[in-house]
Amino acid sequence: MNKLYIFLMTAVVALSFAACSKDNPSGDTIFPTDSPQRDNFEQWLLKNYTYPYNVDFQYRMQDIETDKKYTLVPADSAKCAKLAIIIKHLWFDAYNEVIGPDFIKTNVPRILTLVGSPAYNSEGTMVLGTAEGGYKVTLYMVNWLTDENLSDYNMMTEYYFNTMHHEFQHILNQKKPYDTSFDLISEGDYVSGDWYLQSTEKVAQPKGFIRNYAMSEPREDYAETYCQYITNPDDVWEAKMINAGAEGRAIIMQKVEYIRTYMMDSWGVDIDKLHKAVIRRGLEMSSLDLEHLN
Amino acid sequence: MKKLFIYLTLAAAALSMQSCLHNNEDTFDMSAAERIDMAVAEAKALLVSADNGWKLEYYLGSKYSYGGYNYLVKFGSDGKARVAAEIAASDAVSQSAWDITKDQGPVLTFNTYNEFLHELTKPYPDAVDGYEGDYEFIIMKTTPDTIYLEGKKWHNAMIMTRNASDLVWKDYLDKIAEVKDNFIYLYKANIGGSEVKFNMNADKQVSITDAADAELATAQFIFTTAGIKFREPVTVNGVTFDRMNYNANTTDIRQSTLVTENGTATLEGNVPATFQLFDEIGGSYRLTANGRSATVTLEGEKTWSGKAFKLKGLIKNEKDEDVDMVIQYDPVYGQMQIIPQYLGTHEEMNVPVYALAWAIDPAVGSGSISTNSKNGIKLIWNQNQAAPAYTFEPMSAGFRTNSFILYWMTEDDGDVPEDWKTTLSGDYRLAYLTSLTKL
Repeated sequence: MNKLYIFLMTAVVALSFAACSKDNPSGDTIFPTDSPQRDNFEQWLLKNYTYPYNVDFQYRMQDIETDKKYTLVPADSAKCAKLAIIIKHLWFDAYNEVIGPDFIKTNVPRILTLVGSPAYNSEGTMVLGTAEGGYKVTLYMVNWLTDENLSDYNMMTEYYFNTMHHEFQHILNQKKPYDTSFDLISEGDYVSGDWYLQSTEKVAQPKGFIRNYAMSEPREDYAETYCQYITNPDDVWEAKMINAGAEGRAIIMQKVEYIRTYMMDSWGVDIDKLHKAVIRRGLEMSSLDLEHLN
Repeated sequence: MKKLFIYLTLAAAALSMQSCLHNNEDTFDMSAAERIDMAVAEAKALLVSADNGWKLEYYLGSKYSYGGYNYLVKFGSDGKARVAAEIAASDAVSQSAWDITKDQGPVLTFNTYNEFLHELTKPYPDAVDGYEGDYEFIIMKTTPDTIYLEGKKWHNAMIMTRNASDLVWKDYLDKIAEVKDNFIYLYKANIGGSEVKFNMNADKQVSITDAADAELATAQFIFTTAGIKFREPVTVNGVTFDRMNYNANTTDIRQSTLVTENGTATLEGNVPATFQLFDEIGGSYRLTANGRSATVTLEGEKTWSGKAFKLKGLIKNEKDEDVDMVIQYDPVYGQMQIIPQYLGTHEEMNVPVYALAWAIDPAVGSGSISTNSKNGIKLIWNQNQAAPAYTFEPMSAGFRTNSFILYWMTEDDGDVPEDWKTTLSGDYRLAYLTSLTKL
């Protein structure tokens, strides 16, 4: 009887393997294998973002890549081109100069999405940028750019570059967490959703926060302190420290020291070198040719 | 037990054969992926095939609440769309990118900013969904000359029709502009033996009422080269209204009519005697208040969302610079009105300055002020085409505004500004407004 059982079992197993052998995929692949048509700008993006930095610079609005709760508008393509030139010079090439392309290829968000309008929240604030899961950064308000403010380092920094450094720091933190004793420095002073009710000059800085947004929670404090330290020209930073007073300055500089150690130990990045590179490139901004894709 | 085991094994064998033994009948010849690829390719080819482009009857606002807007679009095989619009100059064309994506079916998307199309779809800080406009459209159905679309976010149904090869874009938009600029919005008619009123507004919404003001039907419309077209045919007392020709009466605009294309019904203008067209108003005026006069200019400003006048030469700020006031124009009653408004910022004090409604009681010499837009002032025309002039009347029955006052305000404080002045009084007062006479 055992042999019978074995025979039967084998038969069942064999049948179930034989079953459904008609389900072979048929025909050609449905995925197109020829290259898409690329215009001048798109070819430039391939050469300056995709090949060197492995970044997909999405200037055409893709609804699926945006947050459905906002009503948004696409970015003007000419302004996208100018912004692409500036971002490469002031952001990507700055990191490249200090730490090399491999760091960028590995860690920088793979997708950069541009949106024309701001993302307005119903309580009157607006979102400048978002970083998701370490792989995408969205920059809003591109249509607000004019030739005048495109050449204004402080404005561009406030609306775009701070956001990019800030979001990038979040991404780095998501990959390698920072020392959480940082969260204790200003413990008790964080105000979460009420950050926009605090004055940066009168309340935040004297308490040891570089900006009111940093008061929302420790991880925002971390990212905001980082981005301001990198992008503020020395005299601007010093003025903020003076406004913060002796106590505020000491707290902020303590936070900077945490960030300095983290960036060097975890990532091999010298934030002071990066700061100098960014400031120098900021001064070169006015001589960038924004009318031609080179 | 052995038998049970054998039966179970046979049952298992039978079951495992089950999935291959039945017949799989495909409803379609191709897989879903292949079919949508084909739909996208066909849609692209159809759009590009119109050498003179398409006419898009665009409907704005959730549930068509802002009415129809005309667009002319030519889709290039280079992925660029050339767009002309009713809301822009008739010879202007704005270029931006277009594509068909695979989303909720084949979706037509305008995915870089187009000055004329996205103007209607922008968000605002105080209205986060803006005018509720779509720039991505699901392609519901196509014929060789017509494409039926549905807005992806706001779900308005819209139609695109292929333009005749001899259609001249500028002429087409010029004709529509002419209808719009001379259009009146209130009508009455005798339909099927009873009095009916057609009340239209600047949002291109129509409310049709009977003699007792009970609503019979509602509709939305879009301007055409000959008049208007209702989004869907509407039937009142057995007569169906679809396209209507507008006959502007150039001698007396109030006698203008709307007539159905087949002549079955005529709507007669029903605007008040004080109705004026926007283009008739602008110019130099003498503003009189409390016995004093000042020369001011009314400069017309048209945006796609409304018409207004800048009142220039009346107010100066602390730096002695000119500050404009805004006079709104209501196209339905053909009337101007001034409502409480923000004027500018007092830079030294860093506070906003407003012109607020002021109801002065002549017996007392003082009165209350209001920020409410319902408490503005109406300008009533004297109906004299040769020598136009206006008197002022309060908009509200309860709050009798007869003056305006310059006032700065923050959340918890406010007062009259020391150094902002009107050319009438030399200080913050625009008291006892009497008349506005054209020069």
